[in-house]
Amino acid sequence: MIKLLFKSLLFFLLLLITLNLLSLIVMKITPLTSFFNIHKNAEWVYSAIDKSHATISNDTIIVGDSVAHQLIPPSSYNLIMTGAATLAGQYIVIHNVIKNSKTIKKVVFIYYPGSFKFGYDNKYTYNNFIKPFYCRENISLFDQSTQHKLHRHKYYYLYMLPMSKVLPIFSLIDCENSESKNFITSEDYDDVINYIRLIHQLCEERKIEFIVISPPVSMTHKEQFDFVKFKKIISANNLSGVFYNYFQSLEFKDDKYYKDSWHFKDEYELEMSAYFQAKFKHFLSHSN
Amino acid sequence: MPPRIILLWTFAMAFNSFSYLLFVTIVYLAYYFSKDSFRWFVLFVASMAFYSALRAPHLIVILLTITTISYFIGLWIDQSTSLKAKKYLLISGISANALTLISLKYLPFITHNINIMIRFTASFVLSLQDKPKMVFFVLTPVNTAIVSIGVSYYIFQAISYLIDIYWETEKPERHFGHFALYMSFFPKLLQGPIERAGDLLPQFKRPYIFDYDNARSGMLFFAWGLFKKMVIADRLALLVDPVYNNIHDHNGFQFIIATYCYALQIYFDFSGYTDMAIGTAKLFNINLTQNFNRPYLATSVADFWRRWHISFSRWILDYIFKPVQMSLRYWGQWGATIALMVTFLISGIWHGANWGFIVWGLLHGFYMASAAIFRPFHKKLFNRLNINTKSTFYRTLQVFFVFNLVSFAWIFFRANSISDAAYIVTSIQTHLFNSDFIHNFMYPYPGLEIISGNALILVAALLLATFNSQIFTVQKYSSFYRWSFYLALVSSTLFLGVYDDVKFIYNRF
Repeated sequence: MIKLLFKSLLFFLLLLITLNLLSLIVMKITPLTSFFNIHKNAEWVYSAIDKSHATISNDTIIVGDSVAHQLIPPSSYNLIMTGAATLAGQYIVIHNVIKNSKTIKKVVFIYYPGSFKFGYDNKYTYNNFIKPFYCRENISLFDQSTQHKLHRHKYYYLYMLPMSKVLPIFSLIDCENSESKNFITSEDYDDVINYIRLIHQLCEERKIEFIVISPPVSMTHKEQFDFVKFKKIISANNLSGVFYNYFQSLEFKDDKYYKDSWHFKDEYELEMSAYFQAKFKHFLSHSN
Repeated sequence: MPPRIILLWTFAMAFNSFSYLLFVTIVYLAYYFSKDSFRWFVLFVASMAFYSALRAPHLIVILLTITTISYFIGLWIDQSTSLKAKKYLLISGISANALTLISLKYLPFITHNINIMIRFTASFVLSLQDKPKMVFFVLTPVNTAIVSIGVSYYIFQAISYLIDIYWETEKPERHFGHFALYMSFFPKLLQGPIERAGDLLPQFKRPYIFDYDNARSGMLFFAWGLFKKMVIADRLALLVDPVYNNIHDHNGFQFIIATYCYALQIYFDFSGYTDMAIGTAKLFNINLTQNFNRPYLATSVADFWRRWHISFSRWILDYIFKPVQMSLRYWGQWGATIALMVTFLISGIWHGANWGFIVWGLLHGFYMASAAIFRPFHKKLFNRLNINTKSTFYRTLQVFFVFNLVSFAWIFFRANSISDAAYIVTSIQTHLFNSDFIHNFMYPYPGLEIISGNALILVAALLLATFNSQIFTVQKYSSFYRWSFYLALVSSTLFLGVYDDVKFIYNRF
């Protein structure tokens, strides 16, 4: 029995090493094949990360959440991800794109109100935030609060290992832990304030215009989201200027346009997209 | 009860889940540290916990009821001195088992079909009358949501146990606990193998001696089964399901490829499960029946059934075919033909209340019966044409032919309804070489996707289907090769496995 236990332990150690070595190889060859499907459930996020590492020859970039995805057509300057990528993820993408593309003059940030409430262990957050962003090269870009919250998670050290980025079994975490609240963002929007401030500072340093706007919001969401509190927090943190356009342009639409009080129904997607682009034409305009 | 135990209890434990690995580890440790006289109890409690993880309390009640009834009827059959009394007891025992199975699995199907017939008759009769005077009643539909997982397997065990006692080929088990464990032993509870009392019961009574090689072999069986299920079967399912679930979007060529893929999928799914069951049981020094022996290398349909779901085919051979054939022995060739058709009809019905399974069973019955009828003509013809039936070429042709016959029958088994199956069969004949055929070869999706994108998996599946049992010879090699193989096996399962919520196909039977 002792022999079996010892050999099993040795096997698991060797397996751990093998899995991580193989994961490093798979990560290298992933651009060549989609066979391993390591971008599963978060294709938009990986696409935005890839674009942020390349040079964009445009003066405007658009970032945002999945609702923004329905409103803006795909393009080289569209770096829209999802709400589950969290503001920390949005910040990293903006940081990288500004660092790599010197032509950027304007960052348009389209965010549905509810997306500001995304924590680090909500449903979809593992695949959209932890897996793509929680790696050694990004650690220095996280604020103290985020690092603290991530380190509170009992498996955080596992998420740094290469195998956690590749093995499909890790993708299940989103589904299984959707109800867990180990390190969720608090209701007082600490992280939102921190990252909006960081993005704002980054843009100011490079003389880049930072515009935050909202997609049309459903009536149901209007009831669910505490706009008064959110506005108060923004104001208390001296970010009213950054959110000026957000609150000015905020408008509410009938629930008939929405499938889940956030996203538009397929049949209204084109109509809403055209409407939104016309409404914010002055912000979304760009020159190549 | 500590929270972690509750957590373990409430998880549905599929063999390919972490909760099952944890469960087996705990049971193994408890078994290892228990006294010999107490070990059956550890396994019985574990089996009950395993079954109750399905969260269907009625299943536990039914299992215990069937166990109790079969146990006592077995004893009474043995104690009865009159042959007539033995016969009545056997009939009552079989009836109790069969009625339980029918009421759980087939009542919804039966009432649904009776209602269709009533409605058809009613509309016909009423159309003949100017002023309708007759009143027709339809049966209340039975809830189809009743779970019957595992029932078919242990009921077949109970029936074979009673018949064996009646035939006096087995002695009844006097220890209720051992008998209850024979019925409920968790590795084989949900999907078999269907074990005979004479094979399994003595193993529960043997003192347990830890055997390193056995434990290692058990782990290898388990890992191999997991690989077959998660890497091969579940990946093939990704090719099969979109075709079979959207038949109107696909053509004959795609149906052929999807059907071949399904033939491999069901084999790897089921044999993967069996390997995991065998592996788990080996940890407790218990040997379960090997259910598969490279079935797609069969050279006849009869040979296929000697290699496919072996515990089940032995069961239907011993307890259905042989008795029916005996009772029809004076009918000669036709008696054997009827016996084959009846046997395979029951085989189809056993798989579930669905016309597709019935047609699948009848097709196999037809294959076997026609082979039996035409065998003398075949022999004469081959002798006259001087065909060497032992040549490799001839055997390869036979394997190919049988694989196609079996795959054709799988269409009815897999299709979502009998009308879907009819559509698929028609499409294969009428829409195979249309313009889409060329199109699908030229453009990758969805036709070529099946061939190119997953070619590796398909090739691996075919190779493994051929050389499956050779895998276990790895244990004879040096440590370096063995460990390299183990690492490759587990790593590839973790890298290439499908981790969505995919169920075992044979769980539902």
